Amino acid sequence: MRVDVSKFGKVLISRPAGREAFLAARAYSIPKEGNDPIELDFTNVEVLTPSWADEFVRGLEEAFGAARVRVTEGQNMTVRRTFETLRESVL
Amino acid sequence: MTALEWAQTPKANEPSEDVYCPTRDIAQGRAAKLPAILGAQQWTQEQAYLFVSLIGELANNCFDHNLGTWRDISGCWLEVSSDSDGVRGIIADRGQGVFGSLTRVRPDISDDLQAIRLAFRGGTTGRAPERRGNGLRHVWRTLNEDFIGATLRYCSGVAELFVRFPVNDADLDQSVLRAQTPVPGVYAEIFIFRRSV
Repeated sequence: MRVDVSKFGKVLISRPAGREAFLAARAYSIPKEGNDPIELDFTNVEVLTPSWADEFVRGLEEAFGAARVRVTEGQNMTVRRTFETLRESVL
Repeated sequence: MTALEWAQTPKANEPSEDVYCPTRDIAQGRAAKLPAILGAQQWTQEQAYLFVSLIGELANNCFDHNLGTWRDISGCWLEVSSDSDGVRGIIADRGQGVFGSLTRVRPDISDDLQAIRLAFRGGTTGRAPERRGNGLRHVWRTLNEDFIGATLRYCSGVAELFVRFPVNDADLDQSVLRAQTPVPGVYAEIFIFRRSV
């Protein structure tokens, strides 16, 4: 299933907001049953920071398993730079 | 009073309404309006979005690391100004500073200079064991890769970092020097030239 992340906001900055988005996604956006991949599509997001993304993506990875969660970054440079930073931080 | 003076002065009052963000929500709300404001000033969408991501991370730090420990005035000073040369973003707080935050989990850190170097290197956070410590690293990387000629000034305690990008990561240590006037909390200033993308 695909989650359009921009539905949580176009400007995704703060850590508490990322945490809240994760909790809302877990409750309402992700089916409770099944093991289909979860595609997080950031294509329509305008501004993303590592703080928001860390809470949202890692929260979903912990809740549903990292193997199920896939990220579509799109062309937005703040999204690309954010995931570069997060990938670097887990090395 | 400038933001730097406000950050440095031993006793301060709340800043004027146009720059003062007493809570995270207000800071976030102001940051969210910046893309449209910068767009109206002929900044490209990409420039505006990247700039806001940097301001957002710096503002996050004010609240993430100082909630409940402000020295006097809570919140941050958030100021953005743009002219024909470029856009300047300033974030300042009257919190515990980088050294005060990091030494809670890394008592081996010797001084303000080492604390700032570690913070920009990434992976060290005063809120360990939470997985944090990416914010300033992200600011450094983005300025280095996307904004040629941009400058970053970052003051905390008696340490001051000043960088004109692009630089090598190895230049970080020598970019942090002892400041003449201490900033007990944090003062951060980014300047991006219009021609720098």
